[in-house]
Amino acid sequence: MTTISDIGFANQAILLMIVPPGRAEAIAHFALQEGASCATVFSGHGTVPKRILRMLGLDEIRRELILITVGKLQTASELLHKIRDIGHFGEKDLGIAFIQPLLDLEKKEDKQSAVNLEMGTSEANYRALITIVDNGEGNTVVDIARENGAAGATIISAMGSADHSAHVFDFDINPRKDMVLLVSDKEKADSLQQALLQALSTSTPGRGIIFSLYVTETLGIMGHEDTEQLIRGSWTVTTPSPHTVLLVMVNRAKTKSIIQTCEAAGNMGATIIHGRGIRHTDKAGSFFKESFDIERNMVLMVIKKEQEEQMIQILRDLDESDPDYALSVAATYALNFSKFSEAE
Amino acid sequence: MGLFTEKLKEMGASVLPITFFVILLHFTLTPIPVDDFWRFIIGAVLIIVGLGIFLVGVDLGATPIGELSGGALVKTNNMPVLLIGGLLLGFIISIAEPDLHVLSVQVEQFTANVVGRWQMVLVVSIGVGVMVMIGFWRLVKHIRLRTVIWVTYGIIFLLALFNSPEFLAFSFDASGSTTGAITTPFLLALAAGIAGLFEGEAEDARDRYGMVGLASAGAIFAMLIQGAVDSPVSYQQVDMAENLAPAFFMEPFITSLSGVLVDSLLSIAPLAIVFIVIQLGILKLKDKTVSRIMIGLLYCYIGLSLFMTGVNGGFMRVGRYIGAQLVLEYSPFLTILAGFFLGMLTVIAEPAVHVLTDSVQENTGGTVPRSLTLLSLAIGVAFSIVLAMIRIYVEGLMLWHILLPAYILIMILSYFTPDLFIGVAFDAGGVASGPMTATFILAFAQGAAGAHPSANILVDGFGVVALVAMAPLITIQAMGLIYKRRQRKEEQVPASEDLT
Repeated sequence: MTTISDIGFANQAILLMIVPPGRAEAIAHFALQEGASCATVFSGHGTVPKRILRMLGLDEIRRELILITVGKLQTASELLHKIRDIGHFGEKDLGIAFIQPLLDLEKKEDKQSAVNLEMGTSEANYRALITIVDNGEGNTVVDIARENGAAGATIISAMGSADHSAHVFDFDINPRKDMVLLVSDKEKADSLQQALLQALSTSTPGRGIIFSLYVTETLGIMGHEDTEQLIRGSWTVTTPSPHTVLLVMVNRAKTKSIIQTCEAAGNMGATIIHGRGIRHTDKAGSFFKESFDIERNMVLMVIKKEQEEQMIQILRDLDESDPDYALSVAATYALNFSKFSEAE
Repeated sequence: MGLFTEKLKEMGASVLPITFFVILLHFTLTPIPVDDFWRFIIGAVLIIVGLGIFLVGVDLGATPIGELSGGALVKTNNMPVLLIGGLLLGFIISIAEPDLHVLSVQVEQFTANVVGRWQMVLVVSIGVGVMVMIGFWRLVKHIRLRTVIWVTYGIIFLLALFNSPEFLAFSFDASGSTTGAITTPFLLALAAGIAGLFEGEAEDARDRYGMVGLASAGAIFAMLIQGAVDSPVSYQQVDMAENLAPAFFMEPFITSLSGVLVDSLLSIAPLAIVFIVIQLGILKLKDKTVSRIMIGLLYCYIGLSLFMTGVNGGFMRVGRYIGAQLVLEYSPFLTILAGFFLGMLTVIAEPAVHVLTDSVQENTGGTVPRSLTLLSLAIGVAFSIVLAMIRIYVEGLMLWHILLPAYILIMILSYFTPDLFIGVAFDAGGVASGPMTATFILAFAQGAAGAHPSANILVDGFGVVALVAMAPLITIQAMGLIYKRRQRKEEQVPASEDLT
């Protein structure tokens, strides 16, 4: 079957990787062969922290972001090891990879324990800090993060859901956004978030949001002595966050209807990123088969914990109503969720 | 390091194929005089470095200026401002395009001053301005590109009836000349800046493309109106500039450098002016951003100058020589075959081709990869050179004998092709006919025409650019049809099947 299979709601982890352009294909194919349920590739860019290059305007490097959803947290961990072993992370600064555990959407009554059983008992040590700001401000975020000790970050172009208040020539405008992704240890992530909130606070609503995600394992974080060292964090939830982030992979043509349905149900806003879904049956080497990935988008929504069940149900209903949605949904805690307009 | 090495590697991969092909010809079919051979190698190095610097500059300078000014014009939410802005932008970038000036000097000579140099430049620039304006209007009114294209080409067909075949060739060549190395990325960015604002969640990047195509069409119809109103009755034969042997080894580079420095400055100046005006008037960007854009423009200037010096100094003579030798010494089949590969590999080294193919990859989220657009484009140009070679061998085969059926096919295809690919195809037409084609390929064709007894160096020389601009319209739309089928197949398989 040539389709994004799997799809659905039964995933326990996502594996995120940032790699140089051209490497994503091979890794995604490998992951799918190894049993990952869905792989989507997005493009972004990173910056090299060298002053001379910066002055010359040559500090930008292209990067690709691979998001792989995996049925079991344990599989994700094994997959990460295998990917390291096949050599894709052998070179310095090649990329980072990390695992985020997801909420188990299938076993509703027993959400946290399913994950708890898999891993130990101490708090996860690492965080993925996600900042979404207006287009063009991504670089400012990276600068501030660097000043505060972050090793590096990746900027991905995104768009906000339509702003119904701002019409130009009688049409809604989708504001352009930058999503900045960086991984660091827990303490640094918290202080970075404070620094960013202070530096970028604004009174205009809708300017941006910031939150972090639990990360259980990372690989190749720049700035560590041994970038190949796997850092195993263990995972438990001491205090569930009051916010949940939904990462919804959807066929591009159906993105709008997802957002409209969720808006009707009370969701305030969403961030959309264009990507491409890697096909399951693709065999490397077949030019024409590889040439046409599937038009997919990622829709990122941060919702209140109370809304979670309702939203998941809405998405499930949509997915069942029409196979064209081909949804793949990942839900995880959005820690320390704040809006820039709320900061004092 | 970083970006620059990445670009340099990429450019090496783009320029080396044509370099190796010429070296192959040198050792097999057409041994090139030693001096010319080494000049060719130096030219290739200059082209690689120049392209690398130029493309970094486009990313840092030309593209942001285009996007920012397009966005700023739309955000005024004022139709007259938007339309006048479009008219002015189209006009000034076209009037500063060096390729257009080169062509208009040739046309002036050819028509015995009936169509004067400045007259032609002005007519074409007004045409481009009007079409950019219409392009802006369609973007904010959300009118589909194919509708605008059908109407525009309908008018072009009608006007063509009132024009002589010679003038038809000038007009279609003018379309290729207006969309030069710097104009094309700027127009692409301008459209992206506007279309990006209106792109909904579900849409692809379809409206980002087509502006370059419309600008080219503007040049054609303006020229055709000119030709219909005041058509030259007779054409005179002009001697082509003699292909004199250079006085010393580096002479071709040194002579071309001085011209190139001025030309590049001319073509980049409008962007700088536009940026300064909107920066002071509307944008008020931070100093850091401004200096980054200015550095970008400087890179564009340096890169374009190196690139053009390499092409003019190293490639042109070799192109002409190979063309002539192939016709003199070998069978038509071998010549046409060599033309096929030469066309295919040369277009990969066109600066704007990289801007377009990268942009398509990025804006489709990677579903239309760069390699695929590049391949379709290269195949298209390869066939266009084959057609140009056939014109040299077959007496009496007029340009419109090829263009008319081809454009009818293009219009039919555009009925079925997804909107995104129509836009990309029409942009690709302008992109493919850039400085590499206007010098190296044209020199090759002129060399071949000059060596063939029944061919006319000028009549058969004119029209090559028109063919290069036409062919990608067919191949890229064909790629769009294949793409559509693949995506549709995807939809037919219900995802739920895999859940079982």
